[in-house]
This record gives sequence, structure tokens and C-alpha cells, in this order.
Amino acid sequence: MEDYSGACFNHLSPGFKNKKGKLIISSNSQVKLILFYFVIFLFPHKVLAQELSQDDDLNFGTRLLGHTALTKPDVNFDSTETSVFGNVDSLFGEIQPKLFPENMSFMEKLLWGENGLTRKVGLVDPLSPEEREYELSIRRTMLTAHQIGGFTTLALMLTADYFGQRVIDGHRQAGDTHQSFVAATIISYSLTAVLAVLSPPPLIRRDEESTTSIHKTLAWIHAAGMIVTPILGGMIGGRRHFNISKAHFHQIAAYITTAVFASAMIVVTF
Amino acid sequence: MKIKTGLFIIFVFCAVVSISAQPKKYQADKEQSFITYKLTHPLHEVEAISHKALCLIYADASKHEILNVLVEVPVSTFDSGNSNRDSHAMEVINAISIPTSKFVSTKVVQNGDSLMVFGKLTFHGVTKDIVLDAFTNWSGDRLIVDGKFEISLTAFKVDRPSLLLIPVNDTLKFTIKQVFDLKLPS
Repeated sequence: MEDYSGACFNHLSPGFKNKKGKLIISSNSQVKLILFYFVIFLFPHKVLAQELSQDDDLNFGTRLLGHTALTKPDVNFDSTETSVFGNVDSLFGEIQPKLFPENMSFMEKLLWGENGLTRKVGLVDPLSPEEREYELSIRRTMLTAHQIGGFTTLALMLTADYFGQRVIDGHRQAGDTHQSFVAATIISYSLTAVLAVLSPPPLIRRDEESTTSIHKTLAWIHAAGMIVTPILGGMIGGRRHFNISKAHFHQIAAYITTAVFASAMIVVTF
Repeated sequence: MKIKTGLFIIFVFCAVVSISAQPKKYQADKEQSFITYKLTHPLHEVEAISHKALCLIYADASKHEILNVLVEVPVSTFDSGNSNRDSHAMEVINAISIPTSKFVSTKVVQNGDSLMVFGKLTFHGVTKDIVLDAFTNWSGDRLIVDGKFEISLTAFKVDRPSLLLIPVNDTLKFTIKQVFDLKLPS
């Protein structure tokens, strides 16, 4: 019966023999087997080592130990250099930036498109990624001003409503103050609207129902209110020919417009 | 002859086991994976999600060990449900000139299913060391990694966007879920 209990490579120098002294593996074969063993077992680590150590051969020993030992591997390599993942400058390669949203409004195309009026008159430079970033900063400034204008307009509108209510309540002398605030409201409202309408297009615009789309829908309603309300106000007549029933129509239109305008501001906070 | 054959089979078996037990690269399944960010404003919270991140791990599935992590995401793919808001976010992080954000691990410390992934996050062109806390779920040929981390917008030189003239909070909270098919090393 053959005994393989001594098949430890440390005992093999004269060749591997069984109890009867019969040589079963020659020393030459042992060397081949040992080499075969090392090639088989170390080859994958060598591949790994090549991957890991392309930028730092000195750390290979530590990494190899980390991967082969039971202890926690402590892989540490500079992320900006070549790593196990290859060159990681970007997995996406060179991304071509999308400069415009797919659905631009008529005004946006007219003013800020690739051949828009602002480019033709030299207000902004020809389209480029850098120029678009600049235009987005213009957009941000205009929309910030739009928000400030919204607050200002709402304050003026509420004040105009207050003095208008005073007039209806019989304080006819408040009419002049009411009209002054109405004029200020119309100017502020118009400037605020212009800031939004003329602003450069955003980077992203999807077809979706969002607070912004509700804000815009409400804008159409309060814009209509801003046209109708002063017309109705003009039909009331002066102090001597004050028509209270027409004044109530004007009053209702004004309150609805104010409510819709305030709602348009509040909705963007959701 | 039998011995030689036997030894040969053992060596081949050991070799196959050794090779198959090597760490491999795996790429997350984009459709099942996502990254979200949460931005807090005094008036409301914004959560945006991207399914377009590319996440690679270098892992030893036999030991249930993750050795390295690389994640990159095109920043314009985050969708908060409000494109105007997303566009505003892209403006403040200069998405045209810096279109992606990337995380590369430098060290992974694993304790059971818990992971602490140390690494470098490049966001808005600024690279900072961050730690990603994660949990792994190895089930058969599937690995799910759930993680989270937070960053400071000002630390990454981002001008905090504002709504109604009130800026958002400085902390940007990210969550990450990546699903890997371990049968398909990349």
C-alpha cells in the first residue's frame, strides 16, 4: 500500500518514495510540481499585483498580503491615479454638455437661442459652454430680482387693496392714495413679469407637473386680473359720480388677483 | 500514473478555486440602483434621484468583501420632480463645465455587513475626503449596498441656492443603493 503521508514538499529532496523505497516521484518531478504549484497559485495574484501596482510597485507586498491573508485588506491608493478600475478620470469619457433644454419658449428662442437677438446685437457672445454658464448667471440674477419684485408687488397690491376698501367704505378722500398705489403696483408688477419673461432659458426643462408649472399657470390668471381690474376701476367714476355696484366688481377682481398672486408666490415654496 | 493524475487533478482544482476566489470588478445594475440627495430649506425639503450613476466595486464575493469602490454620476441626471429647481441646482454647481461627480475609495473597513468606505469625493471640482457608511446584503448571486453620507456645500465651494431669498441648509445628504449581479463581473 502506498503511503502519501510524507507528501510535504519539505521532505522531498531525494525524491518521493513509498515505504518499500520505490521512487514514486522523482526529484525532477518534484521541482516541476512545486513550480507548477507556485505558478498556479501565484499567477492570479501577479495579475492582481500588476493591476494594483501600476502606479506604485512598492506597495504591492502590502496589497498582496491584504488580499491573501485573512486580515482586513488595507488597500490604499491615490484615487486620481490609475487604480484597479483603470484610468478613472471619468467613467463617462468626455461628456458633451447640453446647453439648452429641449423645449424652449418662443421668447427664449427669439432672445437667447443659438442665433437669438441678444447674440445678433452683441449683447452676449456667440454660443459656447462658457457663454451659457454666464447666461445662467444672468438668469439667476434676473430670477432673484423677480422674487424681490414679487414681494414688492404683493406689498404694493395689498396696500392698494386696503385704500381701495377704504374708498368703498365711504372714505372717498383715500381715492388718490389708492390710485397712487395702483400705479406703483402696475409698474412693479410689469417689471417683475418682464424679468421672468426675458430671462435666459434654464439648463433643464422637463414636461412635468410641478410647483413651477402651477406658478406659471397662476401667473396667466393674475396677469389677466391685472388687466381686468384697472379697467373695472376706470368704470367706477370719480368722487362725484361714484358707482358703488361697479366698485364692487372692481373690488372682487382686485381681491381675486391679489389672492392668486399671493398663491403663485406661496406655491413655489412647496 | 494514478498518483500523478490525482495530484494533477488536485492542483487543477486548487488552481480553479484560487482563481475563482480572486476579487473581481462588478458594475452595478443601473436600473435597480440609485443615488439620491436631500436638500433642506426652512420652507421645505427637496429630494432628487438619479438612476444614471456608474458604480464599480472590486470585491471578493467568496469572502463577502468589498475592497474598492468607484462611483461616478452625471450631475444633470438628478431629478427632483421640478426641472426649474434642478436647473437652479445645476447652475450653482456649474454642471456645464463640471458635468460629473465622482467618489473613489481609498480604504474599506468591513465589520460584518457594515461598511465604512473612506474615499475622495470630487464634487463641483473640489476633492475632499469623506466617509460613506454602508450596509451590504449578500444573497446568492446578488449584492445590495445601501449607504449614506453627508457633505457641506460651502466646503465644496458651492454657493447655497436660495428660495424666496432664504438659502438652503449647508448640509447635503446623500443616500446610495447599488445592486450588483455577482454572476456578471465587469
